[in-house]
Amino acid sequence: MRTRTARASQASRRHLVVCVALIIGLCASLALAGCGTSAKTSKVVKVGYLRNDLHELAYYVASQKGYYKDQGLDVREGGVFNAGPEEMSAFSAGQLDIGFVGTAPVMTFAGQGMADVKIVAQANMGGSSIIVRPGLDAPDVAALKGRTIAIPGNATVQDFLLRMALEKAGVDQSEVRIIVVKPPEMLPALASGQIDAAVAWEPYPTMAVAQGSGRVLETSEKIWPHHPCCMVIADAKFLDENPDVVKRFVAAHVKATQYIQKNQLEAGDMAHLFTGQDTAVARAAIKSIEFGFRPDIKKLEQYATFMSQAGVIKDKNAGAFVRGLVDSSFLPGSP
Amino acid sequence: MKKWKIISPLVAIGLWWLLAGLGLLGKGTPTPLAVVKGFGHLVMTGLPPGYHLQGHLAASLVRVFTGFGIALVVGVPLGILMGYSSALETAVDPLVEVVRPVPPLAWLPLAVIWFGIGLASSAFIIALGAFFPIVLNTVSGVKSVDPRLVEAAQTLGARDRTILARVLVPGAMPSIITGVRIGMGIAWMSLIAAELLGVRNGYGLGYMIMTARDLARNDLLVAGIVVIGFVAFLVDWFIRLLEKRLLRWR
Amino acid sequence: MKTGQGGPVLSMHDLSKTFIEKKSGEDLEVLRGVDVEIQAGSLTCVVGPSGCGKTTLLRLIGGLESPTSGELRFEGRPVTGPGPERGMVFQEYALFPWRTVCKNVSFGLELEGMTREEARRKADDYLETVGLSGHDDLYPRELSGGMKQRVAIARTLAVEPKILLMDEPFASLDAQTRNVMQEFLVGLWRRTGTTIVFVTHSVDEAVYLGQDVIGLSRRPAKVVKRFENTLPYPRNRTDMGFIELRAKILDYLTGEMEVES
Repeated sequence: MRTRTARASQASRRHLVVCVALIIGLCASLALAGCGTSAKTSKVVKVGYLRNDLHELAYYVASQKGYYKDQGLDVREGGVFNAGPEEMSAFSAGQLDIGFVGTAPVMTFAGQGMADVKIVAQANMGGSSIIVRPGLDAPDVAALKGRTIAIPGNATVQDFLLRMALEKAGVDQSEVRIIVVKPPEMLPALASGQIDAAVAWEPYPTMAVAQGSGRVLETSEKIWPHHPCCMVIADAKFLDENPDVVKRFVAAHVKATQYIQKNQLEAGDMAHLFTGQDTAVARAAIKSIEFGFRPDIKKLEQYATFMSQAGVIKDKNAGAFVRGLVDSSFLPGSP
Repeated sequence: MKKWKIISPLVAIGLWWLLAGLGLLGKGTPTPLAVVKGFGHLVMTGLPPGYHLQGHLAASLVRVFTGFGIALVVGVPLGILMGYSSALETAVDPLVEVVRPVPPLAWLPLAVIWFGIGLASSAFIIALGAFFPIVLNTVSGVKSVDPRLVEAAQTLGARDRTILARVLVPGAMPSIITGVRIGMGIAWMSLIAAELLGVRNGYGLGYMIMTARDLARNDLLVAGIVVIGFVAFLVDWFIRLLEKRLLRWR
Repeated sequence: MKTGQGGPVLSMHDLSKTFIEKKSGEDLEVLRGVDVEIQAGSLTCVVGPSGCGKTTLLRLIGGLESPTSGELRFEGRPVTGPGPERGMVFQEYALFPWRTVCKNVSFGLELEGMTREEARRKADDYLETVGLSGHDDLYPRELSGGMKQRVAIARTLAVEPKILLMDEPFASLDAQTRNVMQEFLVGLWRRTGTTIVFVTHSVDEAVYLGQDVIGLSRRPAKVVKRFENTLPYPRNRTDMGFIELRAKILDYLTGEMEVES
């Protein structure tokens, strides 16, 4: 009797030792995994961007060509988003450090106090067009009177472009019907004649022409040349704690942007790989987009005024709002 | 006993108010008061401005009832015939089982390509969603009719068509109504999502909510959600009223 | 005491029924070589051991099953399916739960193309016959067992069948209601003169009701004996003749049940 109990307690003690050893081993390996892979000087940066968005090509170029790595940055995908507001919500929740996103959602969320971010660089300018359905007899914007026009969202850059174009053509806003349709859905709607015109960003205008679902009536270059489109933003807290990291990121971004400016053909091919878009369409779309890294403060103020008038941002002082939002100190040529 | 029904929603709202007021629910969550004000804004000013809540509601209701109507008109007769004829059921069943698991929303891009962004595409999505619970519940309802009742009808001189109409259909009615209730719930959910991609006339509850989201106006967003939930509840309550009348005999 | 008039309204010759069990492949022979003649206007009871096929026999007559072999004729013509001339009353009542009492009774009348008023009036007549006047707008779930069975009988009577087939209709009722219903049935039969074939478990009931009692053997059943009951109506359970006949029939049945064991 006693021998059996003694042996049993010996066995159970052995089991205990094995379990503890396993647990310690597990914890150790987890800890190692956590800090092991990245190099000693590499800083992890969580980046967000919009799905299939040609405007953010610089992100893809910088990743592929190792510009981020050269700066000692370990850039991880913090999230790929279907639309700007979703990405801004992620910033609200503190999930992203740096992001590529449209000017409209940035200003909307910042203007409502919903996200604390700073614009640290620009991704692109221009790259939008007003397209009309094939059968529409419209030689110019003035002919859009009485028509149904689709924009991708209220208070977006495209909304602003449309209103500018209408004003220039002497058409009052009440003389047209403006509805919101998401860009992928604009194309079939145009083709079937359910809408007369649409304002969208590349590659949708190029795709519309390629598919035969629409023709370009006016490009953004004619309406509001070099208008701000997508921006590079940083979470304000992340920026405060890691200004050096942001500086290095922006440097890599500048290099990528310059690469695209100088190598249009290769950029088109990379765009094809980045978005899965047809190569011919990607190349043509790239030609209509201006890649430039320095945000134009005056134009941003113009846009902020529009948003303030539309009631989308609370600040009535557009200049102060933009100054508080943009931090150009990380761009080359700044002190 | 009845007062317990009011207590839990009131407690929930109170808790919400407290937590939101203390800022514990995250930056974006509006307080109940903000939501009430938002509701007022939706009715008086409209979102986008000029597009009032009443218009959005009317447009969404038209879409739901069109799509649901199609599902009903196709689904109930088909379900009855399938329940009655096992040959038909065997023939149709594989098609049903392949299409059913696909969520209606997955059809959305195709629907837009086929029908555009008007009533037809949303009616299609909604009909797809509502169709399956209606058909399947109808079939099971017909099959669950006591065979004795069919025999009794036969011995009273009823032939096939009469048995179908006067025994199987009324006998299956409780199941049919269950299918209708479930189908309506799915129809409503599909509607909101279907409208998020865009609507032709600029009106729709889902469309309104998407606009609120784009403008980061969470007070209006939540107000919109409350409206949707409330209308869905009303519609279901109405169906249950109908059920009580039709199924008096239970 | 009424006796049958005219030729046999129902005749069965060498009637057999085997159920083919698809799943297990084991066939179930339920009736083998049944020979019976039923006269018009008679009240005949059928008794037999449990599961012997009494119900199957009734269902064959009713046209709800078809014979495997043998002849089954109603008014000289072979039976090919169910029909209102051979009305059936089920043990489980089989009332349409979604219809009111009146609408249940008028079901068969609607099929004949009557207008709603006509059908309702006739239904009311039959409800009166079964003693349920004034219950028109109740639903079956609001009725007691006895009342439900009376509605079922009224429903079948409404189509004026030539023969009433009753499958243990009073088996689900409590003893008191059962007695009342038996009395009621005898009264009804004496008033209307409908031919009745009544299947039952209870020998007591068979002796109380029937002019003839047909005893079936164990499965596969055939007719073992036919007992004539000449006692006057209404019958008295304490009567010597009643008790003797009941004992006699019970003897035969017990004998049948012991055969296999």
